[in-house]
Amino acid sequence: MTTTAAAPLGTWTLWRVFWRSLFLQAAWNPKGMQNLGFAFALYPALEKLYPDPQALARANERHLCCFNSHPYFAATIVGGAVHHEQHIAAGEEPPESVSAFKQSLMGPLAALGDGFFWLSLRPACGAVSALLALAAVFSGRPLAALWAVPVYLVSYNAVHIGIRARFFIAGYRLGDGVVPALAASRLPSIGQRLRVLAAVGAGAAGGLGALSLPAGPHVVHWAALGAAGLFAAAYALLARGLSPYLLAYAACALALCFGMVF
Amino acid sequence: MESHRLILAAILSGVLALERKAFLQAMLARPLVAGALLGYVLGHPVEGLATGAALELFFLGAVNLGAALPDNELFASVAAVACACELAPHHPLTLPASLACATLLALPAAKLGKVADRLSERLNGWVASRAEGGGDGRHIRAGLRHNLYGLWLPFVAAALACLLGTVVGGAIVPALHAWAPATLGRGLAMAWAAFLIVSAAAAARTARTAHAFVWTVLAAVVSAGAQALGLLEAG
Repeated sequence: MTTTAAAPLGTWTLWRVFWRSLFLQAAWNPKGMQNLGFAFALYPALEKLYPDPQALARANERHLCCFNSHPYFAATIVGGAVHHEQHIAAGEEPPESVSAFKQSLMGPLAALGDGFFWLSLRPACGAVSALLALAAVFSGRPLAALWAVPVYLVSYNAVHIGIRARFFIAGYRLGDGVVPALAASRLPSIGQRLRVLAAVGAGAAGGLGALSLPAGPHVVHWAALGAAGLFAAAYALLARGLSPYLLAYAACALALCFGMVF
Repeated sequence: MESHRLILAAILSGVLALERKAFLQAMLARPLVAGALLGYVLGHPVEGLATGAALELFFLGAVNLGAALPDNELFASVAAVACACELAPHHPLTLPASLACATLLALPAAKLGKVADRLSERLNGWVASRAEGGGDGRHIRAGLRHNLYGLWLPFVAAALACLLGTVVGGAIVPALHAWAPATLGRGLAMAWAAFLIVSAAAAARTARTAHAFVWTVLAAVVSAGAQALGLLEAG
């Protein structure tokens, strides 16, 4: 391996890499998955690190192999890949080190990101915000419901952008050492609490559904009972694997007939 | 509906479709946010927000895990909101009735969206193979720019879903004027309540923990009980 002096990467280059990593899934495809997006993100750094076109082509080729991870945590791997490429360009590491780093982290980080973001944070923010919106609409203050949107976006993205940027920087600075930093974040245990919050928000929204039944004060207890029964039945049927579409249309058809007849 | 609003809404739908998977993923394309934005652009923010909130709950568990594609909640949202905004000003539908009508008509658009997503992925496969083939050291930058070619199909498809919602809404209005039994509004309002409850149950199912069920039931009982008490006091 020839040893060449690697040009230092400035803040602007790192910013460009981070910005382009936001397009990671633009050309997601079944064969290479996020490979093109990954190479696209890394290109500004590789361009600086490898002034020789042939070396640049070889470096680019390394990142066109199949890659798939959680889109937010992929920023960590992008940062780590820049770290490794710096060392490879300086002749301090073999070229295989960056591929090994990517392969070893993409699976665990995909699982971590899916569990925390898709199955915990998003349901929690979505359920609570939807509850706020519906509560405001049903209580006759529809414009107050607009607050649900900033609540959703700010609460979700404060965590999302924070983690994405923090671990991109950590990946760049620490390389393989980013793993202990990820473990110290205790995301799975936080996710567990967020799932409970999602359940509370969804349950409260289900209870709120009773208010939307067009029932007068003299039959409100029957309406609440009917809503509770439908909620419990829907929960049980969904748990048994019934399609939510089928369930929604069946429940709405029954309710439509009930409303038109009685 | 004014044409400038419709064009703006279609463009917004397309931009949101890019944000959904191809860029950033800051949840601007989730039904609650997309519904509010689209409703505002179409001049009916309340319809947009209420439809979006219900669909947010319904699609809370739709996640993109690995290579698995979920139904496209954005397609259903933009079509439902566009349809609801088209129905909004027309008698004899009340707000819940028009929301139910629009949501139930637009819900299958999520399945159409999934088909569009699958098509987009296949197209991206072709784009990626072209980009990989072009990486001979001279045209790397141009090859990698192919990554951005994956943006156009989701944009166009979502814009069309928005227009489809408006067309469907516009087609229903004359039919409702011609044939609308007095009890239809009440029936649709009941259907809206049923949809909300089923959506909330679907949302509660996404919380995959043992204690989540207990919390769900407790929250539902407290919420429903508080409303019942409030209504009884008001009555």
